[in-house]
Amino acid sequence: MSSLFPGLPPLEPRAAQLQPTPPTLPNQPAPVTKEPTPGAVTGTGPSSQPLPPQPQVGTAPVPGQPVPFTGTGTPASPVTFKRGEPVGFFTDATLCIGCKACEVACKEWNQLPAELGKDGQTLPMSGQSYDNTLHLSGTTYRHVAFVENFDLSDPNRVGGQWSMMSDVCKHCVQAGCLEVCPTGAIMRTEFDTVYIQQDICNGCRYCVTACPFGVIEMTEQGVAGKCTFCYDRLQSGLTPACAQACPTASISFGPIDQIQQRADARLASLHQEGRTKAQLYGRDPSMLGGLNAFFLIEDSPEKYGLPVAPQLPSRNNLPSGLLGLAAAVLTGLASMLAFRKHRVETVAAEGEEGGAAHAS
Amino acid sequence: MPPDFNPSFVPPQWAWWVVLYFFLGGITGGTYFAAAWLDLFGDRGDRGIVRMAHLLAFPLILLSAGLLIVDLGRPERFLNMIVQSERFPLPMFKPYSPMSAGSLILALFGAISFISFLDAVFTRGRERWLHRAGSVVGKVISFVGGIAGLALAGYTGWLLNVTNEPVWGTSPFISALFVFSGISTGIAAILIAAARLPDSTRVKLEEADNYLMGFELLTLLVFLLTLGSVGVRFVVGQPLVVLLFAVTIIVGLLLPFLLHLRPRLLGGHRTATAAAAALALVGGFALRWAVLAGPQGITLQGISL
Ligand code: SF4
Repeated sequence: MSSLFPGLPPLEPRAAQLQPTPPTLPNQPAPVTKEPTPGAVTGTGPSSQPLPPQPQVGTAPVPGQPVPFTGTGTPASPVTFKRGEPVGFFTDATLCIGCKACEVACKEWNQLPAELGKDGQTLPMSGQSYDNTLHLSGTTYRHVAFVENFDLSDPNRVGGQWSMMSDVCKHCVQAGCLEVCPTGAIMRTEFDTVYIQQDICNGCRYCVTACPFGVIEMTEQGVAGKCTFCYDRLQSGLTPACAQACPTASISFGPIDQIQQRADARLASLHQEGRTKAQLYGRDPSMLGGLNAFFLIEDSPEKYGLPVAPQLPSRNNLPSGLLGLAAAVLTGLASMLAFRKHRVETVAAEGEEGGAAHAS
Repeated sequence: MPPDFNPSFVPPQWAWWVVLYFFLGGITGGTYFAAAWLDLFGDRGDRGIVRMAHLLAFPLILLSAGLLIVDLGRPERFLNMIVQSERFPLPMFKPYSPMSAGSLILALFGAISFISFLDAVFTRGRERWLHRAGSVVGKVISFVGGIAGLALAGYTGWLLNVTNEPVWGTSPFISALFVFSGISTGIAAILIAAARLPDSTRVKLEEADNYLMGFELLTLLVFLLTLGSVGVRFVVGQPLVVLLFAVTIIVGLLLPFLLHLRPRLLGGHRTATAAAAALALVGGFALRWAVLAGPQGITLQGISL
């Protein structure tokens, strides 16, 4: 294909652009596996503790060939994962610098529009934060929250600081959205992620009410939207766009057991450094069976806009169902009583009338 | 102290179509239920009202379903709730999802009310074919339809409770509340629609309604109390919602009860019955609006939270 602009390389169709770069390019840095230094306690980087072995870059999928059984990530973020194996995100808020590269990469890959203001023209300013996107939505699948820890009574904001966290759908092992979806549009993939099939969704919005994290919102197309965990990339053996774009490795992607080990190591490292407020959110099965996208945070969950005890909506099925049933039985009995009682009275009255007539 | 509700909740923007659907769905279920119970436990004098209710229930369920479909983001895909889009015609059914179960209830109720409707339309002036006195088939249809009517009236409360929204997900009494209110408004609709209501049928319906209004009042109070601090924030904190609950209690429950007991206040049975029924309908509408507005703040202009 020839270039439209002299001096610029020819344009490739988008599909061709999306093909992963073969990992054998000479200018690609070889993946580095860091050897842990005994006893070293360094800064805040993710490598201050011995990490689980980092996989090497393997073969990328070839266009037209069947999708490989094993994914190898991308040269920039190599990771080995298999089809049928649960994968996840470990988002380390202590490493996030709020650059929003993940948010942008997600929008780019998924071709999501920017969220415009009420006039439909301009980008809105939140007016309450340096963050202007404020929350996840049907078209913002990754959202970098700026948690402003400022003393608002101090006009100079001295001593203020930010905590940043890249929020995303938690791809819950027990997912409220998936449970309630009446069309079967929300499904669990072979990677244990939760995916909305937008061509089946009919826009009933029940999933919006069911997600304990307020993740799902509607799109302009009238269907529900949320993070897809880059299902299309996973199927091609690629790292999700956000994890690949993150410049500080705040977002780790990989098989869930590997990133859990990584998270445990990171937490231990922080605790060793005296950062005892650090905690893992959603790593354990006690929270909705475990979140496939879990977090390391350094304050209470509420500070980051995360619920302390998220619950499944189905917890109410039994009490609500039983009370509804009891009410139905009571209604049936009361109505029967009202209708029969009247019949008894009528029959009795007729009997009396009949008796009186007979007597006269 | 963390709040009693999930701070991450996102309102689903279920506004006027859904308020109307919940209201009309309750009336529809209640209408058929009352007809079914009159058919099962009433006497010959009630047969005219049974037929009239059968003529009413099917158009009402069509209207209700229409409201529900209009509210969907993609109305043309409404069938995806009933059949599996990729494995047509296998049914789409998740019993643990109230909305999925509700779709089935709607379909079942629609089918039964359609049969009764046809039976009512085509047997004008003669003894009815299916629902004639003493017909076992008619009784079975009435029984199943009556149960479906109860389910139709109540499942919307169950659906609201199986969410993570404050107010809706907070108190499980909402399903019972909707059952009582739905059936009561269904009876009210019959009392209004019936031009010539035999006295004996009127007395029966009003008596059943008195029981239901008593249960509803009790359940509503328990529901509001069990909301706890969520109620303080999402009910007491919104003057419109307080007003709507007040209308439900005073206009929709206490006044009709008073009129049933003292019809002379309005000059006699006929006027008092019609007025009480109209007030009960106002109360039923106010209840649906109040409950749906709790976490969403629906004003006349739409969602305001
Ligand atoms: S976070 Fe919400 S949207 Fe994501 S899987 Fe869990 S329930 Fe579904």
